[in-house]
Amino acid sequence: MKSTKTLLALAATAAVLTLAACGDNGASAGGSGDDGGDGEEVNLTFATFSPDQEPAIRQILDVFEEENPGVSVEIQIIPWTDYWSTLQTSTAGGTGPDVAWMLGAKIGQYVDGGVLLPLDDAFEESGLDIDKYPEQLVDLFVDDGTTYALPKDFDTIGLWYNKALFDEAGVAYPTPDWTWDDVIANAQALTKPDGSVYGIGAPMDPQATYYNTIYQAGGEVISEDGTTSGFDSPEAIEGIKFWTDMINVHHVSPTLESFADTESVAQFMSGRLAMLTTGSFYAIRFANDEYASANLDVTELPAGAQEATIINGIGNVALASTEHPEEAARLAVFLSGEEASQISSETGTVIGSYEGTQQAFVDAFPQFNLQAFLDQAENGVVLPVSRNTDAWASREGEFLTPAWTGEQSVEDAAAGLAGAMNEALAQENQG
Amino acid sequence: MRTKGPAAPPGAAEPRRRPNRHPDNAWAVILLAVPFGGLVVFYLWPLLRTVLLSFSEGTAFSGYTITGLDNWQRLFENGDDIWRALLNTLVYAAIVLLGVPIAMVIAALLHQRGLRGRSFYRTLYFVPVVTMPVAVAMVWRYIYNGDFGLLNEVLDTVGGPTRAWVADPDTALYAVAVVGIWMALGTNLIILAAGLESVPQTLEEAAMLDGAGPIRRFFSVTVPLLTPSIFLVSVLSVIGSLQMFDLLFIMLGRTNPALADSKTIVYLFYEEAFVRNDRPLGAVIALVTLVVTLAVTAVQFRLQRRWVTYA
Repeated sequence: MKSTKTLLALAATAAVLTLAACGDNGASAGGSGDDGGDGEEVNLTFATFSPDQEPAIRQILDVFEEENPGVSVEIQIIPWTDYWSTLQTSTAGGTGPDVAWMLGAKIGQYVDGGVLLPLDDAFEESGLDIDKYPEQLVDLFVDDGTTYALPKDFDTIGLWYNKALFDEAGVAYPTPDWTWDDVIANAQALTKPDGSVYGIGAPMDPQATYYNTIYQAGGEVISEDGTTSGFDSPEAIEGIKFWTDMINVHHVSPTLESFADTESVAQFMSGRLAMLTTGSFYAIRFANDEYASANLDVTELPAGAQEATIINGIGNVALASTEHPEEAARLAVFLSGEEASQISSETGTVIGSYEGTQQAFVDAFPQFNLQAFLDQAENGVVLPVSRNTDAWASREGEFLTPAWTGEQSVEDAAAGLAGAMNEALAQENQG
Repeated sequence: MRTKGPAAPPGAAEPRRRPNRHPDNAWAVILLAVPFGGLVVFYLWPLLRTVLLSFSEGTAFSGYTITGLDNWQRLFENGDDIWRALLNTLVYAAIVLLGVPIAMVIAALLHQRGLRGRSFYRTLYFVPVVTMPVAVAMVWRYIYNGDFGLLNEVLDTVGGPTRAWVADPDTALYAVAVVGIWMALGTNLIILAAGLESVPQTLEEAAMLDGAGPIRRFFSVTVPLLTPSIFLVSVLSVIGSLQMFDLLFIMLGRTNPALADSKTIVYLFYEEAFVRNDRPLGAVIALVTLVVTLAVTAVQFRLQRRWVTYA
């Protein structure tokens, strides 16, 4: 019966999965040095999920270390897929980093858990001006009058297009005053009957596609007080239909199946799509690709009933479990400050959030009209969030898939999604 | 963990005598304590915590308090997600089990006397086992791609049906299962090859003298003696399949239209525990997985009496 026992142990492994993920964070807490006496060494850990931005971050940290003698900061890169579970469990266990990247969609749980340091004092001390940040993004990280993070950068969505495909079809390039109808008409002209080129890509991507058009149609994803879903409103349905019609009615976009096999950005970069709405964060990838760099360009999103683009940004938080709260708060503010913003913009990775530093981003890749992303920021609608965003955002794909494949009407799919979302929101507001 | 014989009546002399009588026992206890401690810390304690978590409510920051059966009710009363995931998982396990006869045939072919380059073939079949599942999944994604895939290219030239294999709800689970079979082949081959080595040559020769041809010898002599190995391979293969996650996660991706019809139980666990941050519900699913694994394995052990021959 020895093998039975072995099998029992093997089977038990399944159950252990849950805890294994909670147990291994391995992140070292900040203070490996002395306990912060005067003039002592202070070691801080800073957690981020982007290896792409590491060089820029290192540059920023070098400046910080120079200005703060005796403080040294170590970067800890946690891949995106593990980032949130690692940050959550290590913070709850008191072994988390001192400073970390934060998103609007995630901060609610951390504020509720009381694990973040208020940054108001450190911000005041820094001499930075709050009015120089995009207002919508600042609000994302303020709770009850207390600031827990400042946006370090922002991104907006634009209409990227392939000049070579436009030239080939003899179609004039898109302009900022395009409407939804212009997009449809031109996409039809650009689509080749043999399926080798489609006018536009319509992937099921909230931030890059349907959130933008929902707000452009005058709808909303979540009510202002965060208690009800907006998906079942006629405007939201119109905003979603704009994309599903591209596939199922106008036949100017590859299908959802095709995007599952080859992601939309890859199809766009290989010249299969003439247009794609996506973020400023792809500028660096397009610039580093020979074909994309030579042929792609970008303009503002077309308008529906009104102008709108989804704006999002990353903030830096200081965690309450740190052994050096003063230095950690100062670092969190510095990482979102003017110098940090300038360095980030210059690399072309992201748009620095501090006013006056953004020209550097536009100049980083002169082959693209990156100014379009900045011009749209004033129409920016911040990526919709609630206290526990993932509880409903993770269900969008499940409910909207049949609308994308044409098996269900957008009305029915949106109604189903709104029902599930309202349920999740009710649970979150009661908890 | 018993260190002495049948329970002795309590007596004053007993404790004094014991250390001298079995000096080796102390060492046995110490040496056994190490793996046993590991078992407690890394298996039993987490298992207990998972059970407790499944009856609790809360978040990572607020801590968890035990509230009762709510999570279990939620899982089984809210829609058919769990049933569909269970069914998908069992279908997947059943398909991967079909890889066992395939492995048997290949193992027998590789076992032929006078075969040249046997180690080369064995290495070749074993390569998928030591390749990262993520890399395997990426390569197969390209093969299955509906627009530019190798498989469709080949099928197109021979006039077969083409489709988006891993994005079509009708085929996705099967397409992934084929990769599962391919990946498990190496391990299965090693175990079966070892089993073949232990089949006595004399029996084969005796059968040959009785006039049995190679096919007859394979089914009447080799297979019966190989049944213990086949059983082991089947059990391992099923347990592995019941925990399938990585291939599905990489090959399908987040917005795949086939996802709803192909989710396995561990995928569902991942979604609830790590995407929606509902750790208590995740704990319930993990325990359901444990129970299902135990049940399926128990059934296999029960059935083995009918077909496994222990020489």
